[in-house]
Order: sequence, then structure tokens, then C-alpha cells
Amino acid sequence: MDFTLLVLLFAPFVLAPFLPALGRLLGAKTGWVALAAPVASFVAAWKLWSLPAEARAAARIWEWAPALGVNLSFTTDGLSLLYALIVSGVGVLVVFYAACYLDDHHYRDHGKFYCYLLLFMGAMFGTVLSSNLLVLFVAWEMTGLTSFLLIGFLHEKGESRRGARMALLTTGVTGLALLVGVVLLRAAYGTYELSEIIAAGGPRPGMEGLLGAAFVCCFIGIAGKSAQFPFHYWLPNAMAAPTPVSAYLHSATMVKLGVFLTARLLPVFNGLETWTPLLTTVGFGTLLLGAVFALLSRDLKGVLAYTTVAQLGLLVGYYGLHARGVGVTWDALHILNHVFYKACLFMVVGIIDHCTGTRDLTQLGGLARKMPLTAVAAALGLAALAGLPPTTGFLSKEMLLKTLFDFGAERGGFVAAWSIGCVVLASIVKVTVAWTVWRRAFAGAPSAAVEAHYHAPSLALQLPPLLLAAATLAGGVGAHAFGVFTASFATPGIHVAEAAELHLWHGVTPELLTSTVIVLLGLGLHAAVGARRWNRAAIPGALRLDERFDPLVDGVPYFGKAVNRAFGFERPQVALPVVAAAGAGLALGLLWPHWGELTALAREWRPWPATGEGAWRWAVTLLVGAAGVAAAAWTHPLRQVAALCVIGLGISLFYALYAAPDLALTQMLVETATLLLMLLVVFRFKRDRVDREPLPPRRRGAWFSRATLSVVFGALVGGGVLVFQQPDRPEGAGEFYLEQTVPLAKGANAVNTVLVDFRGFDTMLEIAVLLVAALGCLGLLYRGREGGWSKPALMTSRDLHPVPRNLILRQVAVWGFVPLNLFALHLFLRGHQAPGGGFIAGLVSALSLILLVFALGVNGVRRLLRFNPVTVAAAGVSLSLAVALLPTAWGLPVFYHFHGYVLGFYVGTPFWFDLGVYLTVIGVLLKLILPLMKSIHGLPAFVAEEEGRFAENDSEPIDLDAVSDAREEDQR
Amino acid sequence: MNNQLDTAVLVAVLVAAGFYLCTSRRLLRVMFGFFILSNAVNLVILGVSGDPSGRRAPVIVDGAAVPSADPLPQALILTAIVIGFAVAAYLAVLVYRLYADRKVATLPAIFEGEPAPDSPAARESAEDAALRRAQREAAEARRAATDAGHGEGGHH
Repeated sequence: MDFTLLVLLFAPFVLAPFLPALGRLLGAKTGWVALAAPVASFVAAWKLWSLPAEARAAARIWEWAPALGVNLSFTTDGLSLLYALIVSGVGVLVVFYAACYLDDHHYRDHGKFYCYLLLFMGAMFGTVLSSNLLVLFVAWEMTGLTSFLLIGFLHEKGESRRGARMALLTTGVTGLALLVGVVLLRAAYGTYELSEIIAAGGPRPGMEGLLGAAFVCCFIGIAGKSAQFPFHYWLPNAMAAPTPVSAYLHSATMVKLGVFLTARLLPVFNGLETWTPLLTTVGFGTLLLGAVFALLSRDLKGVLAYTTVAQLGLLVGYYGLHARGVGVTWDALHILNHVFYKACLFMVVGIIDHCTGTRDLTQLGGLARKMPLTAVAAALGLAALAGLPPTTGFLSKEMLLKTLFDFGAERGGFVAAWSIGCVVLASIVKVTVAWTVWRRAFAGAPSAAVEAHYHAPSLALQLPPLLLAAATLAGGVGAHAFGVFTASFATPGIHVAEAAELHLWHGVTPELLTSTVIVLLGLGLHAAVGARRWNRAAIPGALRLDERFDPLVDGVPYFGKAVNRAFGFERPQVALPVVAAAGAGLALGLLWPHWGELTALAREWRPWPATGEGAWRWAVTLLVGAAGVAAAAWTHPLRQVAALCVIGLGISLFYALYAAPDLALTQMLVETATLLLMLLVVFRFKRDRVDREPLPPRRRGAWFSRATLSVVFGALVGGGVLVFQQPDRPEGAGEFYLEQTVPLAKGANAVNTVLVDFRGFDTMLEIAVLLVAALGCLGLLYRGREGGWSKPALMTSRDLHPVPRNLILRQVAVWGFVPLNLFALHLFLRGHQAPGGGFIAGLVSALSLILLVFALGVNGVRRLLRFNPVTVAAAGVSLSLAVALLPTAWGLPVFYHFHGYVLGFYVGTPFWFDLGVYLTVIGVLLKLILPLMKSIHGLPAFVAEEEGRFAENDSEPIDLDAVSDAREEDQR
Repeated sequence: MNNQLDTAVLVAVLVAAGFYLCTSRRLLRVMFGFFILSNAVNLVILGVSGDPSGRRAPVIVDGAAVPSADPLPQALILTAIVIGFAVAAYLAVLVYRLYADRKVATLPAIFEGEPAPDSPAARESAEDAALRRAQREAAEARRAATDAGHGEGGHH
């Protein structure tokens, strides 16, 4: 039982990942492999359906995130199984059809195609079987994503991309409304489980108001997915998909999800006053709109798409007729009828497209003589579309009219009049559509366009539509058996318990008379318009919402850009002060009411140092503060760098005075490296004398307002330091680390053990950031190098000297190398016990290597190193990650530590983690500094060559506002 | 109560100086400003972590329970220093690259367009105009194409 359900649900998911690889081997034959999944699911669904109703209705729950109320709970009641059978059954036919349709000549990537198709199928099963609303929503969105991939499968074509984007955005955004609805339901009922919601009978006290809002939100989701007005525009555009996809997604499965969800939520919502008016108005309105649009379309697939829109509207409206207390009957009949004839017709259109190269009704003609078998399938499908006996379409229409007349007799009023009017008018139009399509595409002599391109379809290709056509016929002829079959899907709470019997001939009833009138009027409409005028028919531009959609979506970035431009926010020098002023204003506004408390606090500040350390801190503050002011005031970049040196090293001293030796060491080394980088850039700027390039004059007094804003901003942040004080004693986490550093982490240096042991995950991410920054710089420095640039031949070990050949510096660099690295080793090894560690040691090692550049030149050092710095950095990150993941092999949590000693040295896992950090720091630092040194300084020949290389790229400047793909392609 | 007035003053001065430089129009000065700001922010974390007076570094010596500074903010700052370095380095390389590519070293040259007609900014607005025109035309062409109901292609 559970196993059968698992097969039904997961057969597509299990097979799908293998298909892309198989596709490369088998090409078009991949379809025959993919067929296994829908067949397995169909058999499983059939098996579940054949069980007695009591045995299958219970929901099965696998707990997933019970704390959030999210469980993988599935139900196999009649409604679910009806859709599961449709999805898997039509899936079998569609995959079979696709295997014949998608040949190797015209299509590529078969593996991917079937992979997407199966993933979609799996998502469909998930949606229709789930009884947890949140899981249902996830699967619902998965169908949207996979359908995006399928609609856009022929992504070389603009219309495919456009249709895919439209479908994704429309169903995705409306899907978010559904999510809101689901969350509101959770708020109202306290659970996501649909069975519990229904069993509760009504919302929790005080939450009744939410139910109406939840219904509207869910309905937006339903309308988006099932292409109800005003979201009907995406479905015809989704027809850019390969025809098997249209036959599957847009007739039988995905677009039916909205109908499915309407039925699923019917017991929850149909007590609402709004239920009947909303569903019938939108549903039957869409029915009429879709039918009329179908009549006006020239593209055969467009005709089918709009009739699908119409039929979906009919189904949604049909559920609207069943307010509380009215059991639903015959909805399975309407659904199955549509599945049979619409999938059949889509496949027929695919065959026509395949054999004649066009789907344009003005070009086609006389196909009945060319392809009689297809024409038989088409005739039956069109008969069902028109609602002619003896097809299921006739049964469906009769039962619909009967329900409507009963509804009208019982309820009356506008809703009934609107429903009956829309249905009757739409039925007339549908007869005309069916007859027009038959006349224009199949009847008469073959047209010139058909004669020119025609080749015969294979029998296999025609088999699936013929089977479906046979089903419409068999269902109609064997009406009684078909009625029993559809009644077997009755679900408690939704359907009436005992359905009436179904017969093809009910005697002369009002429905039959209405049907006759409908058919006659439909044929009359065709004759009245006249054959030639059909060719000029088109959908009025005002109603083509898809024409509005793209400008709307594209307009969003344009709007943003226009706003930015209007305020000058494109320029950071304008935006930054505004943002800062807004932030400062907000902070001042928030602080204002607390002015009294702040002044009370200020009286407790001790302005003068109580200890010797305090006096030193004041001295450093004065020095660094003066350097900060100087850095801001000076305009000469070298002087500014000198001021930055004072700031950086002064802060290092400050850290030392703050009882933070690790910070002091790190700061000192990091400042060295940062300033080295900045100095390199400054040198390059000075070499070209761009640092004093004239600027357009600013407004007079601009510097004053800038300075004022800066001072206010600085005062706010500085004041924040005083106001938001931690208590003096380290409490909570800090105290825990101090107490446990020796017992747990076997290290005396709490800062280091926090980094490599207690909070290793932070450090892990941090070195990942380092690596990412290095890779980003790599991209910036090497951009454009692949195209046409070869290594210049004159690079020798003495080529690149960043400084004059200073004998003393060279000697210091060479002789300093070994002691420096011994020092780094010392720092690394003692890091666990005393200030030091992987970061600091890595910085020392990297700087020792960089110092070596001054003696040997960049290339000399490169040659000496024999390794690629990025490889070292990546190896470091990988080592740390491996150490972090190692404990999972024993089922222990990630970052669990093992301790160990070799010859008195600590070699526990944190040691190896720290080694990874060490390697990362070396690699990243070298990667950042070496190329810049090479690029910025060196032989004039190198600079000239480098400039030439960059000049080549001038035609392709760095994107400041990234130009979207859509814009580029439209430009083309 | 607390003794961090020095830290607060230092933070205030550095933030003001850094912010002033960041609002400058020369890329080099923006870079310097960023450097100062990132240092100042580290000091903020340190400053709010408690008064260090009379405390030792958070290194356990002989298991003695002397009052120590809080190790957690220090570890966080250490991380922040290194990440600040990565970002500063990226910024430096970006400034360098911008100069190498476009020969610009000031913000007005990037965003407002030099007098020269082929400056990036001038090009950009011309592009936008051309783009809107092209989009309009493409939309019309698409409408015509959908009406004609082309085949799926590949089958002709």
C-alpha cells in the first residue's frame, strides 16, 4: 500500500536524473526509456484506485518538519486518484507521442527534455496527492518551474523565451498569492493539514474574517494557474512549447491544477457568500471570452489554447454552482471529457505541423484526404469540442446544462442568468469553432501550402490521438459504464454519495432541445460570416493583455532607472550623503525622546583616565585622530597613505592596550598588506598623473556641508559606542569560552579556540569570503586576457623590479625570508596556547614571500614558488572543510573536535583546521598582491603591452549597470 | 561607570574622516575612506565589548581566574579585520581595473560623462534611446508573427 504510493509518487523523480546522460547516448530514443516512469506510476495509480474506497482514503504521513506543521502527508481519495490517473495515463501517451515526434533531425537535448518532463510529472503527482497545504504549494510551484523549462525548451527562439517567461511570472506571482492564502488558512485553523482543516468544520473563534481573505488569495493562485481572466493571456503564449508539451501541460495536467485546487478547497470555502458569485462570474466569463478568442485565432494551437481557457473557465465556474450543501456531480465527467478530446486535438495539431510545416488556418486545407487516420481522430475530437453525440462531449454538455437549469430553478437572479447565458453563448461559439476548423483545415481539396510541404505521418505518431479519440467515442457510446467509472472518483465531502445514472439518450428533455438549438445556431454563425471573412478575423488589440505584459515587466527596471536618474542617485557621491543624512535624521529622531536619559548617562562618563593604560589610550586616540583628520584634509595621496599607516598601526597599538594581543598582531600584518595594495594603486595613478586630474567645480561651500554631515555621522556612531555598552564583566558566551577553553578545546588562548574550535563555522565562512574576494580580483585582473594576448617573450627573472635596485633592501628581503617563516611557524604552533594562530602566521608567511619580490621580481618569485596561489587557497579551504566534515563519518556533529598530541605538539582537528586557514591566507594574499605588483610596476614594455591589452577591451567596458540579457537580445 | 570615552572619541573622529573621504569624487580618496571606515567599525565592536581596565588578555595562564577581556568580540573582530582586508583589496583592484579599462579616476568621469562625446555616460543614454526604439519595433514584429501563427520551425 505504502509502497504503491511511493512508486506512484517517485517513479518520475527516480528516473529523471539519469535521462540527461542517457540522452547523450541514445538521442531521440531516450523517450522509450522515459516511458517506464509514467507506466509505473499509472499501474500504481490504477492499483490504488482498484482498492476499496475505505482502504485508500486514509492519509499517510511521513514527518518532515513537525515543529513547523509541515509533513509529507498524502491522500489517495477519489479526487487525487482521478488526477493521478490522468497525469500518468496521458503521460504514457504523451511520452510515447514525443518519442515519435521529437526526432534527431529537428530537435536536440532529448535527455534534458524527458528529464524536465518527468520532473514535471513528479511535481504534478506531488500536488494532486499532497494533503498538506504547504507541501502542496511547494509542489505547485515546482510544476511552474518545470513547465518554464519545458515551454522554453526551444530557447533559441524568441517566442519560446517570451512565452516561458510570461508563464513563469504569471503562475509564479499568482502562486505567491496562493502561499498567502495557505498561510492565512493556517492562521485560521492552526494547521496545514487539509484533512484536519476540513474536519474542524470552521475556523478557530475570532478568525472567521480570515477565511474570506484566504479564499480570495487562493483564488488568485487558481486563476493564475488555470489561466482565468485576467490571467488568460499566458496560455496561448505558452504554445511556443514543443507540441507534446502543449498536449501534456496545457490540456490535461498543469492548467487543470487550478480546477483541482478549487475542488480540493471546496469543502473549506464553499460556505462563503462569495464562493458562488466569484467563481461563476470569473469562470463562466472566461468560458465565453476563451470561446470567442478561439473563433478569432488563426493559429491552430492558438485555437486550442483558447478553447482550453474556455473549458477551464467552465470547470472553475462549475464548482461555483455548488455552494454549501450541494454535492458535486459529474465533474469527473467534464474533466475526463476535456482531457480526452483536448490532448487528442493537440496531438493532431502536432501531426499537422509536423507534416505540413504550418499551423495557420489560412494556409491549411484538404487534410482529410491527405491523412485520413488523423482526420478521424480530429473529427471525433472536434465533435466532442462541439458537444455532438455520441461523444463524451455531448454527455458533458447535457449534464452541464442540466446542472445549470437546476441551479437556475433553485437560485435564479443574476448569477444564474449570467451562468446560463455564458454557457449557452460559449457552446454556440464552440460549435462554430469546431466546424470552422474542420472546414478550413480538413474539408475540401488540399491547399497549395499543404501540397508544397506535405509528407505523411507515421502510424505510431497517429496512435496516441486515435486512442484518445476512441476514448471520447467509447465513453459516449458506453455512457452507462462511463458514468459508473466517473462516479467511482466521488470523494466524501465534495461529491454527492449516490450519483444518478448516465445515459446517452435521456429522452426529449429541455437540455436536448437547447443542445439542438445550440448546434444549429453555431452552424448558422459560420455560414453567416462566410468563408472569406474568417481569414480577416483577429483578436481585438485592446483585449490582448499579453501585448501589455512584456512592456510592463520590462518597464520595471526602466522605471527604477528613471527614478534614480531624476534624483541623481545613479551617482554615489549624490546618493551616499542622502542615505547618510536620512540615517542620521532617523537616529536623531529616535534618540530625541530619550534626551534626559542620555544626559544622565553622560554625567557618569569619566573623561580622564583612571589608569596608566587609560592614559596611553588617550595618547593613541589623539595620535590616530590627528592622522584621521590629516588623511581627510590632505589631497596628496602619498601623504594620505602615510596618514593611513599611522591610523592602521595606531589602532594596532590600541588593540594591544585593550588586552587584545591577537587583534594587535593581526591588525599590524593586515594593515601592512592593505597599505601595500593601496600603495601599488597610488603609484600607478601617480605615474600617469591622474591623481590630480582636474574635477568640475563643486557648489561653493559643498565641502562644509559634507564636513558637517560627516561630523554628525561620526558623533552618532561614537555616541553609540557609549550608549550601547555591554556590561563590564564578560557574561554568557564569552565567559563560557573563557572557562571552557582549556578543558574542552585544550588551548589556553581563548580567542584562537573560539576561532578554530568553538565557532569554527564562522571561520570557515570567513576564509570562503577571502577566497571569493581573491577569485573576484582574479577576474578583474585577468579579464580579457584569453583573447589574443600571449605572454611576452622578454620576461626574465630580472624583468620586473618594483623599486630601484636597492642592494640593502634586496639583502634584507633574501636574508629575512627564513627567519620570518620560522617566526610564522612559531606563531602558528603556539597559536592555540598564546597569541598567534593560522591567520597571523599566514600573513607573516605571505608577506615574507612578497618581500622576496623586491629581490627577485614577480616572475622570479612565481618561478620559485612552483604553485598557483589560488590552488593553495582552494586547498586551504578544502582542508578546513574536510576537517569540519570529518566527524560526520562517526555520526558526530560537524566541527566536532578530536584532540591529540605528537611529541608534545598539539595535533588535534583544530590544528588542521588552522592549517587550512593558514594556507588560505597565504594563497589569497599572494594572489591579490602579486598580479597587481606586476601590472602596476615593471618594465615600460610591460606597461605598454598591458595598456594595449586593455585598450582592446575598450569596446566592452565594465558594466556599471548590468545590461540584462533581454535588452541585448532585443537590440539584436 | 565606564571608561571608553577615548574609544568613542576615536570612533567618532575616524567615522567622520572616513565618511568625508567616502563622499569625495576621487576614487583613491573613496578607497582611503573605506579603509578608515572599516577600521572604525572594528573599534565600535571593541568599544561596546566592555571596559578593559585591569583586565588581561583572554589567555589562560596556569588556570588562574584573573579577570580577562571577553574573547568573543575579539574573535569576531579578528574575522572582521580579515574580511575587511578582502573587501579593501577587492576595492583597490576594482579602482585599478576601472582606471586601466576606462582611464577614469573620478566619479564624475564615470557617472556624469566627460565633455567628450564618446564617454561611457553619453554612450549609455544613446543606447537607451536606441533600445526603446528597437523594443517597440520588436513588439510590433511579434504581434504580426503571432497572428500569422508560425509553425514550430524545423519542419519546413
